[in-house]
Amino acid sequence: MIEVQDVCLTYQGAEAPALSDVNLTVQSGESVAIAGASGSGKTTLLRLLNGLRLPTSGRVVVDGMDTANEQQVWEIRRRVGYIFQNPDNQLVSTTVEREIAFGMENLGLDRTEMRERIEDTLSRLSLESLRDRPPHHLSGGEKQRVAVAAVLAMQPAYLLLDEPTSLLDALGRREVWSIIAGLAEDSSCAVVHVTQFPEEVALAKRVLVLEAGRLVFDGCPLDLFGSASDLRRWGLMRPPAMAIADKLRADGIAVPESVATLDELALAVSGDDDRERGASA
Amino acid sequence: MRIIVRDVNVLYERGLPDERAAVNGITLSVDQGESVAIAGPTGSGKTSLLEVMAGLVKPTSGTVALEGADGALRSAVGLVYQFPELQFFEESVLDEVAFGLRHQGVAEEEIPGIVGRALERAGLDPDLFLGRSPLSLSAGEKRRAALACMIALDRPFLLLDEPSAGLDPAMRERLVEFMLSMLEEGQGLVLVTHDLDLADRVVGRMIVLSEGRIVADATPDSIFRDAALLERLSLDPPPKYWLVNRLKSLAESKVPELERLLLPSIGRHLADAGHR
Repeated sequence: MIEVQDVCLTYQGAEAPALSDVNLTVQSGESVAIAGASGSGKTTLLRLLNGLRLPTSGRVVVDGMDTANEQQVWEIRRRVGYIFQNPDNQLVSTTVEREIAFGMENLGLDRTEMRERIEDTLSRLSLESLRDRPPHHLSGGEKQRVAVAAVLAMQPAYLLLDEPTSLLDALGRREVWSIIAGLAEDSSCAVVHVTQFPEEVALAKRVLVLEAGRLVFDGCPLDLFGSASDLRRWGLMRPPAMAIADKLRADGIAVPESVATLDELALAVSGDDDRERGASA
Repeated sequence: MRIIVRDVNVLYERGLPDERAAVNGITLSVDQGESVAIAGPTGSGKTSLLEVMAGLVKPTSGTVALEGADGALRSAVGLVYQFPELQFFEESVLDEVAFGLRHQGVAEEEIPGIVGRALERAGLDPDLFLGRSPLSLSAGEKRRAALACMIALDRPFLLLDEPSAGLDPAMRERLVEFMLSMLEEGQGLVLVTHDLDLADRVVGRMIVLSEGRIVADATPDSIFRDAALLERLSLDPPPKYWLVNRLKSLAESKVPELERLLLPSIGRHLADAGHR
């Protein structure tokens, strides 16, 4: 469990705090999205969770260890993996295999164990065919997969991802999304990810919303997207599927309120078609 | 004024085992006042083509030129990079945005006014940001600051590499407004983007690249209706087109009604005028 207790953080030279009085808990195995306007403190909050940043006041406690305690920082970083927005900023090796081995070497694992974990991770993220390729020659989605693989090989209890899809094309976004969805199902590793995409927020089980450094929402996406005035104030938007569904309803087409994704919307609209056909037959 | 790209090839790692062609025999022209989006999968040559058009990458073969104006291509074109965090080096946002102006010999007393207006147009409040260190900004704020650097120079063509990446939805709306106002003023706009919904709202012409070649050069509307092309290149069209294309395979009878309700899109008023 990661506990954020009464956390405030003010950057040097800044007038306003980046985070104010934030309290929250991330349970083991949980999947959480962090949303909010640009500059609202999303990345700052994420960096507090593995001690990349320390709070100005308050505490962040990872499995009982305070991130401010220098003696425990390596153990905290081992448990809490971090994926940066731009994978180019964290890939360092000459082949995919070596990239995955890099973190484990720093943990001092023996070779047999490393070999096993490399094979497991390559297959888990479908990277077998890329094992000998230089990471910097891969596509954006592939690079991001390698970055996640290198962190997962260290078997973290928590994985933090900072806008992992924002620089990717549609294919890369789908690749990274299936990884996040897979990890959310697999309770061995908790996932906390920052996103700007309303459609990604809609897929999360729990969403945290920050507004000017304050935690203003902690709940499920359907409740979040139900409140239009709050969304506007927080600089968020409804997912496109919901906006299109609203328009279709206004034009007299019946669409269930539960529709949150384009797939569901397509099925809802076409299902109506089947019933009409059934009635006329 | 017009940028003309003729038979351009760009080879990277030339003569080495991993030599690859980023741009593969491209010919095209973009007029001032036109708005063009360049789309295509990762690695299809979009950024390389943009850098060629800005005069920043010299083609391995072929030519790029500015027609209808004296002076160099480079001084007619402003390029905003995809990774603004790599370009900042001044101590304050003011000095960062002023850098290009000072380099061009703009009088010091004019600079604060120009910088302030550029920041405002890019969506950053000058009162809050002028004194901040560019390195202390959030990712979305850095992107807007980088845009302000180019707005300040007021070049006839603005080239933007993934301008909406990392912007929150409200900022993305302001970016759309800014781009539409630019077009109204007659500037040329070329954007490289995966965000095809953004392209739909701003541009009148879309160029699709695959493996360094142009595979489509048409209106966004006709490209977004081409489900086979989108599928082949793994491109996601704007959500409303995605929905209509999906229904073509699920429930054909629903398509005409949805096309009528959704596809004549809002915000296209300038797009069609911008297309030659």
